[in-house]
Amino acid sequence: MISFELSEEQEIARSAASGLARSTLAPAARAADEAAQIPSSALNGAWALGIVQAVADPAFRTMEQPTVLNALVLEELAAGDATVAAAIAASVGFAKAVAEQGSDRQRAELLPPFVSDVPRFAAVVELDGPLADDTAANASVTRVADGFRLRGGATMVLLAKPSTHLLTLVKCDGRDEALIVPLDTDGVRVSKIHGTLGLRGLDWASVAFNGVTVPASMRLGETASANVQRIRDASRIALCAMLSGLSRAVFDFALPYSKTRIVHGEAIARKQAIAFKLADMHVAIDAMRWMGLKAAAELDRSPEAPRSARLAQLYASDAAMRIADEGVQVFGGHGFVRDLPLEMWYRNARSLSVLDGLVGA
Amino acid sequence: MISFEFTERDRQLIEEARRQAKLAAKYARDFEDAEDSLLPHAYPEADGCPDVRALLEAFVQETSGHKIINALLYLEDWYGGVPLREHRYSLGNTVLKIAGTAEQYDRWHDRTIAIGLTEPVGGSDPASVRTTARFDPVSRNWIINGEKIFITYAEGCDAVLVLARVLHPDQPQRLSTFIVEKGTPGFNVGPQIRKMGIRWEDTAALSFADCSVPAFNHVDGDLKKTLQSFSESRPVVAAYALGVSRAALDYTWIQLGNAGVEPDYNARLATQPMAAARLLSLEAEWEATWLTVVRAKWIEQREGPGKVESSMAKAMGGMLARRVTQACIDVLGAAGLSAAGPLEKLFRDARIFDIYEGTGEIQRLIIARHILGYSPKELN
Repeated sequence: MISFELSEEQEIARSAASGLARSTLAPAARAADEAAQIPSSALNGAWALGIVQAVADPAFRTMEQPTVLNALVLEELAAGDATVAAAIAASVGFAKAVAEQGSDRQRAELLPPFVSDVPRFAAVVELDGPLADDTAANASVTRVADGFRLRGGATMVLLAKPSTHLLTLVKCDGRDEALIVPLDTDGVRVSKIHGTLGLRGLDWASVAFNGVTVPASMRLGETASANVQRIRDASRIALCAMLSGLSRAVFDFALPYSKTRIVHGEAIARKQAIAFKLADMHVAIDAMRWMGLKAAAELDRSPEAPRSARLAQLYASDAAMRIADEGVQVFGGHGFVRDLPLEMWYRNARSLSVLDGLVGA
Repeated sequence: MISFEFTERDRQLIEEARRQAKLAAKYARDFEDAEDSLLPHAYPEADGCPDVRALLEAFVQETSGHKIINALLYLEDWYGGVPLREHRYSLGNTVLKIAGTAEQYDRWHDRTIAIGLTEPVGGSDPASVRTTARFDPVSRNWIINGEKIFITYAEGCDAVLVLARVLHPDQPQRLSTFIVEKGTPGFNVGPQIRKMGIRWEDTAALSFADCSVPAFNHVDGDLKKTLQSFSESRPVVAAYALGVSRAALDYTWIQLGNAGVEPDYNARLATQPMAAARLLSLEAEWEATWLTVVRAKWIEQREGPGKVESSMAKAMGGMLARRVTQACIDVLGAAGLSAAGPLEKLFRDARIFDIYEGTGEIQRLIIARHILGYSPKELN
């Protein structure tokens, strides 16, 4: 039965996240971007909303539509600061994969630290080839007696420094596998990246795997291959949610400005060239958030949602980039200067839309 | 709780409608060189096929709702090209329902009533209507004079609901609506209009020369009530656009598959064939439009037609159909031009959706006024 009505619980979570985004995240976003560091007040506040804890805590495992709820919260967080949202989404991605697909032992060992009052980080990465300064010719994954051996790297990893583990998505013998790699494993090298286009507070690094051995006990699910598609789908839903939030921030900022900015004797909002841009933003934002929520609802009742999740992310990536772009344009020169958030949103929109696979909802 | 899952009954109705659309598809080109013909009430294949609209009425409690499913049934009709059974979505009937008295409704509800809105000088600006309805104090009849163009169901309808400027000695000038039945002296239907696409659709001009109608035919629908009917119909037009776009995408994917190109939902767009990447982006837009249409209808089911949500659906649908059909021919190359395949027709048909029942620009004006809190005077 088709319904667009949020449950009371979802509405409460959304509203709490929205309040935090307005009061704490948005005001701190510019300074965080300049300093390339998320302030702990913002991070602690977002962490305290509890979506990572709910994923990791067995007590919440009976929750209805957890992915929908996470998507709603991530959207609101990203409307305040996409950097903070992405940090939380990284831990959600890791913890959710372990909670849903880990063996009993993996769950017991890896999840309790996430049920905590202080933020804990872990991320999902894709083994995507050799790094520029690597000696390895190609990324490779081989089966060895007691597990897997990894060579290659992940070019852009968020929050690698504070993270404890990386859930590494690989292909082995033609099958998708998810391998849990503690960051202190021999052969794992983290190299800080100095300066990124956007989402600058995420302390980006590249991670090289120089012949890293992952024991079979750290293969997600242990005895069989994990459903990696599900992990990817959750990542795309998270991205769609965050892109929706970011787009809303642009729209909400541009709309009142366009009504007060007088050019040639009248507000620019009264000119179709500007009014139509805003109308298009409004339409696209509504469409993208429902696409993400549809994919989330699908993932909550089926093992995977490859089509809806991918299409949601594709649509949101395109639309959010366009919205951030037009947001800058509405403000003209003011959109280009760093006093206002438009240029930051423009950079962040480009960054979020290429982060396929690094986060989760 | 949000859900996008069809009920068992939804699925059954939509699948049956798709099956029937495929049966009707062989007639889709019949009107290309026979625009003066009217759509038959039903094609022979309709015999033995259940009437999905009747099933929807009968089992509506088991569905996601009448408005949502009805729109999705129209999507299926357009997937086939022509409906296996004709079921007219006539706006004149909608205005009669909104603005007519019980007696008026009783008299005409089972007739097809076209809507007469557009005039030679007023398409997107219905307030500029020049057709007049003059009150004759002697006969107490209304005398209609004027011309309407681009009227759907002009020939096949039983009557037309005309928007006209009221000239009454005791009343201020205003716009109102009048039902003029076929056969009324002075009411003439022009020849079928030669169109780029949707050639099966009955479209002609109407003229009224001292056309006298009784006071009973005055349906008190002002411009606002008349335009309100669009809030119901616009998402349905967007559903048409979804149907045409779906047909174009399905055909193009099959052709690409024959050439060894398959979509990869996991690979980045940049690392798959350009053709697949382009189509995936359009699939995303299709899905976005589908949600916008279903949401508009969901809102209508709960609160009545939402003007802004309807315009949002229509704006999305109109642009989707343009982009999809243009891209599909581009992707398949010159082969897409041949009338042996469906694309050239879909391309021509698709262009109307961003024009009729309010152009994309009109939809954007409505949306923009809403979000900005502007009156039509402040933003036009």
